[in-house]
Amino acid sequence: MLIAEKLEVWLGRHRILSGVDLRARPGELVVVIGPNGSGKTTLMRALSGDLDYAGSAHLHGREIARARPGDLAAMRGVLPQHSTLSFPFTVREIVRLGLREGATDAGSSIVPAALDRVDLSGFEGRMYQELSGGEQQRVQLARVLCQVWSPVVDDMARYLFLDEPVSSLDIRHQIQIMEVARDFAQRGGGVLAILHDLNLTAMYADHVVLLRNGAVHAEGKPEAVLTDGNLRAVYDCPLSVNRPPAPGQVFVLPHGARGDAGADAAR
Amino acid sequence: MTFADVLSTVQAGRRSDGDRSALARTSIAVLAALLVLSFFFSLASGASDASAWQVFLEAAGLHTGTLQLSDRIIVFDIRLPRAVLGVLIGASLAVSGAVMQGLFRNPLADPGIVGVTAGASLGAVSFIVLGATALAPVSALLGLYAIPTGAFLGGLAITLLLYRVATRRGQTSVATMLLAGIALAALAMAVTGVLIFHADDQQLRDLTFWGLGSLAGATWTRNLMAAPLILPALAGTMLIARQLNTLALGEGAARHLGTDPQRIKMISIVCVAAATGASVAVSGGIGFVGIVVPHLLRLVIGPDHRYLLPASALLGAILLLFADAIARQIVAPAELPIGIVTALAGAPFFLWILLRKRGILDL
Repeated sequence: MLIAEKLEVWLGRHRILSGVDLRARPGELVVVIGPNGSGKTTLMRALSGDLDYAGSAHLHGREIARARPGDLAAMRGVLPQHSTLSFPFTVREIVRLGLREGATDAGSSIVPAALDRVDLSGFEGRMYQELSGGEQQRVQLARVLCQVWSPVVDDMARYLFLDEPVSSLDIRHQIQIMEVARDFAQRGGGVLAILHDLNLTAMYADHVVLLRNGAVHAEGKPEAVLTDGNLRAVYDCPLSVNRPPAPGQVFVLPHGARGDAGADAAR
Repeated sequence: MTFADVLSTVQAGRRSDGDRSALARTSIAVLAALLVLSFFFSLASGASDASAWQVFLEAAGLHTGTLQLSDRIIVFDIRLPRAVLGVLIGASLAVSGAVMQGLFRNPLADPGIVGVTAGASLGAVSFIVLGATALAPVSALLGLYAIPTGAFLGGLAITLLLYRVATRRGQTSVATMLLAGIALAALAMAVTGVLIFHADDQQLRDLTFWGLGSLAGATWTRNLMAAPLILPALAGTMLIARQLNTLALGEGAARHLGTDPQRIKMISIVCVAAATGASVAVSGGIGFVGIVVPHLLRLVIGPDHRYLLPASALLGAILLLFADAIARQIVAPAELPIGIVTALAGAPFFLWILLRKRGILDL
């Protein structure tokens, strides 16, 4: 179980997060949304052990800021928003980096399986630096999947931390990657994902945390959080939440496009 | 197998499954065999006309008496310690380069280019010039190891300073690294100059070879001075090879994978300083081996440090033995400092890398 209480993070002289409470249970896909600068990535970095914080953050009872990198790595994988690579590794070599030290024979089947999950079968021999941005993002996800291949190990749920995992993907792969995340949660793992796409959030989240100015503005089930009032207040953008396609599911349509903002005013 | 065959194997390896570990292991085996050949070639090359085969028979104890006594002395008392030192120094320089490049996440980082060698020289010169006066107590305590220790500390100080200056929040700026390296090297050389100004004639003679780098005058004593620093340093780098791979993804991603970046940095810096310091202490500044060798190897076997580091040690040793053979023969019976040979070949190579990858300097 991932539990953060009264989390507060300062970067320089700016308080980025204040009093954030968050719980991510195993088996749940928790999505963090909020406008640019609302503290989503800072929250993810604090929970990944990258930043100092005040308050507390525990993963399976371990204080994250004080845990050793190796112990955290056994409990969770992190997909950062941006990835860099300084030497010409092949796709296979990158994904292999996710395997725990000493994993060899078992690893040979995990690497191709992980690449298959992100729809990159047959890319093993390609040079990472020659891939497109979306392909690189999926290679990195395959590497993270390798690290936490089994969602549950010795009755301990493992976690996937995903910072905008679909930011540079086409619509087909956005769905596919979200399915990977949902599948991981359904098999007993925990998922904490940052998303910008409110419709993907509505479709996949079990629990939504809406951040505003470094604090939690609302949280709960998607239909409870994704409301006209919440979203207009937080994003400062005229929009409305609609309910057609499937019964009970919502979708969000911004009004700016094609002059719909006027329609909003007229209503 | 021709070079074209090797290249096509490399290409095929890339196209299929992207696993270059088998190719890397084969390369290491080939390099090891080449090193043995180069070693005997080195023992046999020089003014005396003992053949490599005769030397091999003698060394193996299979057939004694084919060498004349004078040749035996030349081969076993002069060339053998020199060849062993060449292997040690070549391995040390190439591995130092590869580790530094992994640490700074940049293929242009090299102890010679970013000032670590200059710092090590300063440390060594300090003990040569002040060993009998200001540093006498330390010098007496360390004995044979005073100069290598001084070089180690000098190299360590420069590496730590360089890392402090060039790295912010886990990201190393190449431009800052190279420029800071120039500044630190200039500072170290200036202080070295002050020391040399105070040196007496005998010390000046001892100091001349530092500027250029040479294996001349290699003795078993010199080997004994260098080996206790170089061998543990090389072993230490092999222990962190896997973590250096994760560092290629950036410090953050490396930490997420379970690597402790601070620990890897400290081990890398200490090992590089020890290996470079010991090399400088016994053979002066021999440049460019650390940049040429890992770069060539990455083209063939890829950047996986678990293979790159041992392969670099082997190829570095081979290259240095050849450079030494050239240095001894090109102006025979005199000999060129080996640092001139490596610079003549290595500096154009460095420029070639820059031309191929102009983007590397993107600021």
